[in-house]
Amino acid sequence: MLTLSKFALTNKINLFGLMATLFIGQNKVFLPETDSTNSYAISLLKNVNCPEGTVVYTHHQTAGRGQRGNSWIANPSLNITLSLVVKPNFLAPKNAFYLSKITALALYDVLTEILENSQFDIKIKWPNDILVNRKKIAGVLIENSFHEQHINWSVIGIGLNVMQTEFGLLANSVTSLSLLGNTASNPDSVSEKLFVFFEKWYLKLKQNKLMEIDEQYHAHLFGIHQSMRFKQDTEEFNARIKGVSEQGLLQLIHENGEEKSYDIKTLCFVM
Amino acid sequence: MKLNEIQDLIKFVSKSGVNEVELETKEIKIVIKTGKQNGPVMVQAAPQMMQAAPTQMVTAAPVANPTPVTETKATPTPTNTGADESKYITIKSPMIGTFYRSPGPDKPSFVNVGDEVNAGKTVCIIEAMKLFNEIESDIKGKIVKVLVNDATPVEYDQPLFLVDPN
Repeated sequence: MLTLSKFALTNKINLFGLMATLFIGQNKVFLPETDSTNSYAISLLKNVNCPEGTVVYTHHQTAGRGQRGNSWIANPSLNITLSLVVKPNFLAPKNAFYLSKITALALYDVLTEILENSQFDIKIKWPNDILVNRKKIAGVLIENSFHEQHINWSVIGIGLNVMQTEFGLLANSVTSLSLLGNTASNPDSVSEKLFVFFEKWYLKLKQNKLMEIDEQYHAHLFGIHQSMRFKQDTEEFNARIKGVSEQGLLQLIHENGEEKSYDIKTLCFVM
Repeated sequence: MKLNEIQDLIKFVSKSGVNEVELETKEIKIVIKTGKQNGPVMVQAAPQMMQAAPTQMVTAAPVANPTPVTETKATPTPTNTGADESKYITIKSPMIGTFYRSPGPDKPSFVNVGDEVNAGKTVCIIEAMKLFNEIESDIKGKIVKVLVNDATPVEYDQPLFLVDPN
């Protein structure tokens, strides 16, 4: 019995290693400790260059970044903190937000595969956080380089909580795979899946399948067609989410019927 | 991986201050360990016994020549701000977003008036919907004016910098 299950396991890993991806994750840079995988990937691009699909990952990120000024905190070895390098020269600057959309969809697919049970409500929270049962499990930070009106390279930083179970003050708003009862996963196994799904969506983007990307993004968008509570400056209001524009603006329908689009800088959810 | 690329990588790692870097491609696995902060750099390179990749496409793309960037032609911009500015060239925003002159709060500006820039030099960040877009100069010259205030919104094609190409 033991031999058989061992064989099955090895066999599966080999298969996976062969089948996994064409380019995402084929070139890996592991850093035992770094301030930010995004910063390191950008230095690599600027100093020695690196091929599309390069992954920079660490077990200990000491100064992970969220949105400008915010930080992303991850415990050593428990979670995924990695950066993917892609070179989407084919993408028009006005469509840069599609990089956000496909990253969110890849994370959605990974979590849907891992958390099979229907009790998990997995959603993409505008613009690209991933929620499970209304708690944040993953975040994305994307840095692009523009030259002559096109994208040189894009560094896609991804944080995903895998095995961390203590979140202190954030416990009410943050979760992890372990906290959701999935204790079989570890950062490496989840990363491998992420590479596969990211590549799938990246190739769709390369094939200009924008409509399919939009459809899927909206299908999993947190609060779509529902009345939600928002805050702009100091004012709170209810509005219905119509969707997210090509540029990434959140389109709301106010209670008086007025339609308006919002930038992430001016609007936040009241959860 | 070519020898000079490995040398570049070693230089880069030793400068970056990390203790250890592992790089793995289809052909090669490299572990670079830096002894101390300024200590010597050790390299262990082991050719890997890998199964043949199923298609040629699987191999990583060759690393491009690290020397940046070919000289590019500049767009002369009609300006109505006076005759002596007509020789200047503008760097424009490729997108709608928020203009930042530095990589983060409390960090120095990418460029200041009087700085020489080359094609490929990052001059600012435009943030749009949580995408942080580094904008590179596509011209060589001297910054003579910053046309937008830090942390303010910019439109598509809005001029950001005036550059003297001489």
